[in-house]
Amino acid sequence: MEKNIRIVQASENAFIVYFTDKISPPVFHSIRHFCQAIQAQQSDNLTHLIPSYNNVLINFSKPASNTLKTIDYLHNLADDCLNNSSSLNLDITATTHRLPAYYHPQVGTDIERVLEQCKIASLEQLIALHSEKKYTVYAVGFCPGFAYLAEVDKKIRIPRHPTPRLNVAAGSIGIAEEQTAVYPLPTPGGWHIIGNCPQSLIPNEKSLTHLWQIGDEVIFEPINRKMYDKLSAKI
Amino acid sequence: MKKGFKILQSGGLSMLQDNGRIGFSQYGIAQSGAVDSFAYFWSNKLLDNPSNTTVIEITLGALKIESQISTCIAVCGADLNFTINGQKTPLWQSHNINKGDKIEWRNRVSGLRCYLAIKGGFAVHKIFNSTSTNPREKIGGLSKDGVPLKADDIIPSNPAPHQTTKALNWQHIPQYSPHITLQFLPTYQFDLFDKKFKERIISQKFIVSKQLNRVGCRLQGGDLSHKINLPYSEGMLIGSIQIPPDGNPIIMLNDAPTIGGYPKIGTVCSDELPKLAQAYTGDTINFKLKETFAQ
Repeated sequence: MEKNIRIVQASENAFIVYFTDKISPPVFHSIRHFCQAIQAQQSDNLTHLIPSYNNVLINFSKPASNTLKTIDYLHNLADDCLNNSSSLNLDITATTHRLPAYYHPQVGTDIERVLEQCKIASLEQLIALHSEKKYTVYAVGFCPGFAYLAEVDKKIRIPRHPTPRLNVAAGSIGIAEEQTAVYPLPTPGGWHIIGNCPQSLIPNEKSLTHLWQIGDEVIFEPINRKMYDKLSAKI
Repeated sequence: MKKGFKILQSGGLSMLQDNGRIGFSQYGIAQSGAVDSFAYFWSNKLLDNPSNTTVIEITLGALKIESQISTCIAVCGADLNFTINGQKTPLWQSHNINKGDKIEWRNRVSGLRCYLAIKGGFAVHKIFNSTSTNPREKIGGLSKDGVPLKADDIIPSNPAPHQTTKALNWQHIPQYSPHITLQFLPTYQFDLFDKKFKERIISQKFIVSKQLNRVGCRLQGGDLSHKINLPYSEGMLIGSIQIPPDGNPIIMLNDAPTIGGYPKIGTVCSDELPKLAQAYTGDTINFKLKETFAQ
């Protein structure tokens, strides 16, 4: 049995499974395996299933009749997933999402501040540092369609604003320490905004399967103003 | 335009709610839904509505409605000075309504949230399998964009024949006290908090702060600062008790984000959540640990 797996109760009918202390692409793969298996095996008895970084919250519809038995079941399943047990026979492929990104002070309200604080010579350099990296989806949450992406280049790591902005525009591309993200909805937010992605990331009932999942890859593709206006008009 | 209930005045917060969104939390979509599941359940039950029928959740009051149809309603939950055509009317029972009747909740007397169910429910479109309004996520409600009810809105509903009124047995009607004891389960990071901290949370008295909404109920007045750090954000539940570093607990409610990064000492027992749903600014909260399940 994998020693790193920990399971803790979260409510009368919910448990949280911690896979490892450190996160890595194979761990995300195991977590996706685990979620898929739970969904298949517990489809009638599941209200919430929330993967995030190294953990998964499972909320069953009914209270567990035997807590220890449920913990055992979850532990064995997590163990199988972590050790890539072929008996599960599940098909999982990480998707690569390409997001158009318009980096400009008109939409990137914090570009000046980032250039100054991180001592970056030009906007071009900032664009290169942000868009030449491939990011991994570490978690989805905060608000619908918000994905925590990592890891941002060390040269442009910057803390959150001490006081969050009251309103960050939809599509805003933010950075905070090693993470980056696109705000799908206008919300309050504390990340430094360096651009805008003119593509709707709000989940809708028809496109749920196309949305990103933990472990997916994301690439930002710089676009010019003309393209930005063209794509914005389509949202 | 289809007839139903017309909003004449909406000064507080009134929103369409049902059981909420189940099974979409992995996309970041909150459960939402009626905060007081007990009052919500009975408002529908008294009309023999299916259990997931859409109702209006009225917070604090200041809501005035004109009925454009003849129908039956049931009103359960907080005492918000509920009247029909200016006459004070009892809660926790059904009432027959005529076309042109004015239904009003003036101001808060006790509790916080009151539920108005209508025979057959309000005919509203579902998003992610629910009509629930979530302003933070901009989904649900009458216009599907998360906007609460406002003056001149007409919430469509079918007329229904008058029926013999039903009432909940008085023994089951909750009394909303400004002094609330909440039982919680030791969950999540409970074991990381030391003995003294655990003693403090059950011996201190907390006060419900002004920061009280459908996302969470923030408490004050305790001394619960700590240095426990969660390495990674994780899934939260309705009733999760987050303890931010400043030591003022936040109990998560229906519109809470799906994941959060503060450590949690426990989860309010699910049958205690309706009590919490009626807590208002200035009320006191005492926590009591429930230790009945295996660790």
